[in-house]
Amino acid sequence: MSPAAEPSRSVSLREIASVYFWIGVSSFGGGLISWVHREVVERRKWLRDQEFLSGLALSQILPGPTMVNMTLYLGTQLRGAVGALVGWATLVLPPSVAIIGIYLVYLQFHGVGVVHFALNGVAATAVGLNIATGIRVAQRTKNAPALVIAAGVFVAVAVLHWPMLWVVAGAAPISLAVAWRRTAHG
Amino acid sequence: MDEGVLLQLVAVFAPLSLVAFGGGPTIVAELERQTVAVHGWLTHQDFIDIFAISRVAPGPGILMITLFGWKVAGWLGAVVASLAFYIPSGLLVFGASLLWRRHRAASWRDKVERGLAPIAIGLIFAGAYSVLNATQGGVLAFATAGLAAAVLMWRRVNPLLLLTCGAAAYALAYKLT
Repeated sequence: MSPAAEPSRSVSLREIASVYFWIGVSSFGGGLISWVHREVVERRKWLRDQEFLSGLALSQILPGPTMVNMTLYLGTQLRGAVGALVGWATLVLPPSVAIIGIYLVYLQFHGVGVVHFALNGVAATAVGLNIATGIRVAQRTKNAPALVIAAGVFVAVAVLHWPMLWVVAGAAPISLAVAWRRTAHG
Repeated sequence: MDEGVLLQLVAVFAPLSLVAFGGGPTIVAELERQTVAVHGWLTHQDFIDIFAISRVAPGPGILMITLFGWKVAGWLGAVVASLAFYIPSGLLVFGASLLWRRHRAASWRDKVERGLAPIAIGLIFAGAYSVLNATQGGVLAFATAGLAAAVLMWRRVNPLLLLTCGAAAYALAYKLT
């Protein structure tokens, strides 16, 4: 690949910090990947579309929150380890301090019955958001062995209360083997 | 400060970091089990409140781990729990980001993604189930979650708007009963 095809790499740490600060403090309820795309690919042209998508795939495959992983990937591509650290710190630290502040405010009201009730409402709705995510992933995985594995994992963790680490350690090799066989034959 | 508690925070959150495929939603069930049943750091209601607050506060939803740490051992606990969770998977992502560009067309990537998907699906639903049980809201909680999921599958609604509606509906139900 010719160097001319590379997008500009002269991105300052201050620019990385400013983008991720705003993404961190204004991301409510998740799902901000499309905003990162607009900011980083379309507006600032730090990465090409293909680089962005391949980084997104990486962030989704590896453990950890996708948004945090994506920030580490982008920071690494733009400015190496320092870029990753700056992006991570500006994404995570301000909201971390904010959430403790919010929790302190909540503690002032936590004897009030309606507060607990409202938070139960938020929790139940948030569970609904997670369920929608689960359904979307399940729709893409339309094969019987995969759904059997998913059901097995569900029963082991939710009903039998087995430790998640052991369940994943047991189910991952089976699930990966199934995926390998299917793609080999298909 | 009791160092034993800090070590326990690391022992709980660092391993979870490396199996949190798909991010926060997949580890909710295990977080609930560890913080409430295994270690007794929180009550069910504490867990629900922190889970709910992390949904309406800005930033990644996984910030609930920072709050668990804070609840258990104050500011130091918040720092220790957060770093224990961020560092292991963070190092993995950093290392993989360096290697990634050399192997961008690798076909195993697709297979790994497909292989991990069923596990993520099972864990996401397990997390949903354990939170709904912990709210002890019975039919109302399951119906609310089902309705929110249905709305989101049907339209791309702003999640914060949905969460506000959920809070308002419950507050109204509280006033009426």
